Amino acid sequence: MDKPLRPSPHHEDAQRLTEALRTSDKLVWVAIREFLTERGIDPNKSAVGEWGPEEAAEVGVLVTPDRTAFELEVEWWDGRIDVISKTELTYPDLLLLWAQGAFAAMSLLEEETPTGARPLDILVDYLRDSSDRFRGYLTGIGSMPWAREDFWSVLPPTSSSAPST
Amino acid sequence: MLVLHWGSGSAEIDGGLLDAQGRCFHFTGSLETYRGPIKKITAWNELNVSEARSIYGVLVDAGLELLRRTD
Repeated sequence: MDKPLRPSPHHEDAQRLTEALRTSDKLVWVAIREFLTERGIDPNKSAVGEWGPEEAAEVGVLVTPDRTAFELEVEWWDGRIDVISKTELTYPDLLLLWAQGAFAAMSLLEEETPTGARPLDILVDYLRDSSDRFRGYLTGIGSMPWAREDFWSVLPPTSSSAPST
Repeated sequence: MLVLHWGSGSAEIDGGLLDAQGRCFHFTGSLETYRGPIKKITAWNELNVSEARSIYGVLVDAGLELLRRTD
């Protein structure tokens, strides 16, 4: 069973990963620095919130100096690393996947250089969307088990018999 | 109701909820099948904000902010 999400591991990860983004000699971080620099994005003013392997690639969430959050994916290719995608977290699926890491990365940047951006807004959007999905309101997931009326029937009455706003 | 956390295995669930009044709840339960329904609540606890933050972290603050915005 999944463990509850907690903020601290993400913040510790963000500090460690951001340090790696800015200073590490590992190929993956060198490649990402080059990718960002070529696009006019300062890696020393960017932060990484989560990063990890995914099949033959590595993928994570990066926040740029203008406080835009991206999913970044790199792939090993013939002994070298290519950044194969950089997708802004405007898609709900990506927000659900990376919200905690994006929050941690943006918080780190705001601690370094306050701009007035509100990292908490990422989690507000995340909670709104994840709760909507949980209730099965979005197209295509109405058959999820927790959308069934009887799924919640044994919950104590103080919480209402089914989650609803 | 906002969902702070939801995890389910083949026979059990573990959830964190924030209701419209800003009350946080943690519950665990057993499932009749992996698709539900919930057969029995095995734990149901209201958490104060401090306790909820210790489990769900800043998601609690995000949830309270969302409730304020949807008032």
